[in-house]
Amino acid sequence: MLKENISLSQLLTLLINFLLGSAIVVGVGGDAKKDAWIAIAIAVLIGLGVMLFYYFIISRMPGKNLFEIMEFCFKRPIAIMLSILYIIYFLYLACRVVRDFGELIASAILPSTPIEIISLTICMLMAYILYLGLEVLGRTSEIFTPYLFGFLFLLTILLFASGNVNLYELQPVLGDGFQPVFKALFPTLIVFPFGELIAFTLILPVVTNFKYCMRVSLLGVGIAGILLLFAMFLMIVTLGVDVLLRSNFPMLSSAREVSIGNFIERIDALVVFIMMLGILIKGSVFMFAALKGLEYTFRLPYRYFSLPVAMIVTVFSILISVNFGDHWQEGLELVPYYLHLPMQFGFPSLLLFVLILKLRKKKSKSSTKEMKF
Amino acid sequence: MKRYAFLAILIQVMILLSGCWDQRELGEITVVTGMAVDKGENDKYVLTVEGINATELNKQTASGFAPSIVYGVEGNSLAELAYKVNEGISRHLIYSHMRTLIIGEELAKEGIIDFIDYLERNREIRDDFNILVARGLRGADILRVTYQFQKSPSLKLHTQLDTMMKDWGGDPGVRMNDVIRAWTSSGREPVMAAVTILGDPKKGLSSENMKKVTPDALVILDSLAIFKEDKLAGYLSLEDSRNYLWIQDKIIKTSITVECAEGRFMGLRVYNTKTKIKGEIQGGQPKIDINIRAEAYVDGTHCNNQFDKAKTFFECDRCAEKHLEKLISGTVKKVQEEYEADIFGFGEVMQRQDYKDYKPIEDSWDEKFAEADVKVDTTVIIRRTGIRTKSFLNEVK
Repeated sequence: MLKENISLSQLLTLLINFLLGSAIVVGVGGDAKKDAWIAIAIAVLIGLGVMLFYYFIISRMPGKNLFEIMEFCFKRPIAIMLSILYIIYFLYLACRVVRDFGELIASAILPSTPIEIISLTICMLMAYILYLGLEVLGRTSEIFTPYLFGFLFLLTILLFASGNVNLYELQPVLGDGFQPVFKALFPTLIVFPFGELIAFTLILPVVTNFKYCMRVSLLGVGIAGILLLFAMFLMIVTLGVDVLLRSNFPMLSSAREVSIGNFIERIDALVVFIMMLGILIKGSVFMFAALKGLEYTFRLPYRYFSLPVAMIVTVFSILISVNFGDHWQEGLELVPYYLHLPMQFGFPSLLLFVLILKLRKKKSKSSTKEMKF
Repeated sequence: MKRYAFLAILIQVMILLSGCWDQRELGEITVVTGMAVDKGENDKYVLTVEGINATELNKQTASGFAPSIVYGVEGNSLAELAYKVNEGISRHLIYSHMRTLIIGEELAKEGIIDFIDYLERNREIRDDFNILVARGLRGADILRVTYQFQKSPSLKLHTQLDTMMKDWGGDPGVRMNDVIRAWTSSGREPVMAAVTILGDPKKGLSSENMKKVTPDALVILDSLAIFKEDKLAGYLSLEDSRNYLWIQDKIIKTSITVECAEGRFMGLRVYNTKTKIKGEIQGGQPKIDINIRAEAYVDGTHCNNQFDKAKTFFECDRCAEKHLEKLISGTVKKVQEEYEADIFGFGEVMQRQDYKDYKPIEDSWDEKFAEADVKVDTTVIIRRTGIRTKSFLNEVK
């Protein structure tokens, strides 16, 4: 197996794109209505905590990923069972992400193109990227991230310039108190997108310069959080909270508002690019996480699995739900409670607990050995 | 092996690059520029679309045929009708460049909320078209009146309203989203511009109408339609429509006529204005302060004002302020008394500025609005007087 490394800057861009990914497509924090931006601001702080939590697990045993730590804690047979659970979890999330993208394209851009084709093409791209390895994924994300910033900046300028921004839409701030904000925070906003950082427990160990890793990953979460916050702010002030809540893809709706002098208009493509990049990276990261699990389980290089797994994701991205409402409801009502919470927080907490106990035992053993010498 | 790989790539490329399901060649489409929705005889709606004849709009290729085709079909949902129109029109219709939506008066009186959902939901239709009421007419009639400079009736209307809004402010500049926002908000009722036909609608049909100096039929901006919920409640005059815009802080430029002496008037061109609204609920009664600050220049006067003294400017300022105050409060009072519909969005102001007191009366806001105590405070600053100081009238009279 080849030893792979990604640089710190690649990790940073991966984190940013990953967090923006589908969160910017579907819009998050809607429960808090006008105060969605406050909810996101708080969520970013909690997100930093979540990142620290995963970093803490990984940093106990540098160079080992989540599955290898599991083996250390529970022995291999149990670790394999657990890793299969995680593989399914990551693949399911990859399916959801691809489906989000498919729905976006099918309902807003290419209505007569079958969604299967859209899924297939993006999955083939992911398969190719992952076949070439994590380094290629890192480089892809590194190259395209400046465009993301550029387009977001351009979109902001255009929205302000076309006079669609009504800052008064934010008022009254906290009109109904903190109640709705908390409702949006727990658990929806915490688990999506910040809790999904669990996939990075498989990427963090291969970063060069592991000692700066914590700083960089916190920085990444911070930047992505600020961008999310900003995007939410932009959507509220251009659309108004009412339209925002009724939009499937609020970011796209707000881009459609741009019209400067009947000349610069219909700039949806900018937003679609931002979304496409986010989805590509996010889907690939989830798929990579699942591939790593397969690598651990079967002791084969993960590249071999990339195409078959991508095909599975293609098929199941279509099969996970029969219609858009189904997809939506599943994502908001079931997944956060039954999948995200246990997989993102429940199990890792247990793992950390066992890990600390074992490490302490080992340490005391080795220190007693030293005493004898 | 290499050969198989090549073959595999070839097949993939063939599948992936063979094109897009959604492609439409330019020769297969007709661009829809205007749409009119009316009450149907048997079914709920009649949808009339105006598809342009692109060759007629180009001066070099025009050959004197009608610039557009207007055709209507009847049915119960716009979603179906939008495609059923092809029973009379040959090409695929493209709705994304629609500029005008006209609603017949009859339908507007019965309620229009149902079909707007289609327009909002549809991915192709964007929120950049004017939404109008045809006063006293069917919307389809408006689409059938030709005009000489811009041959397509709906493009003409769009430009006309835009220009009007920028120069004087009679068109409220309402787009579909504004209407929807007004519906969903408890503190605002929607308005739309109302247009009508001057002359004989039947004669407007042909391109002969374009060849006359004074056309037989001309679509004019008539008034401001006020809605209560989704039903047409009545009309306000164009003057009121301008004042409405002023309260909304949407005036770009406008002109006002101030009586400077008995029977003599002074024209002021307002080129910079800002409106601030403050709202508060005191003891159950809403109190609203409208603060307008306007900069203007003198654009013609009948009075013998000596515009080389600062004092004269100040006097004229005061005079204009009084006049403006009367205009604005007159409009507000009229709406309060006749319609009890908060078209100005004072309720939204309350919601923003006094949320706690507004919450309990949210549902009965329109009644509260009718009782609201509205104060108008104006500041007019006349900065300059064109390219003359004293008027020559001074020496003649």
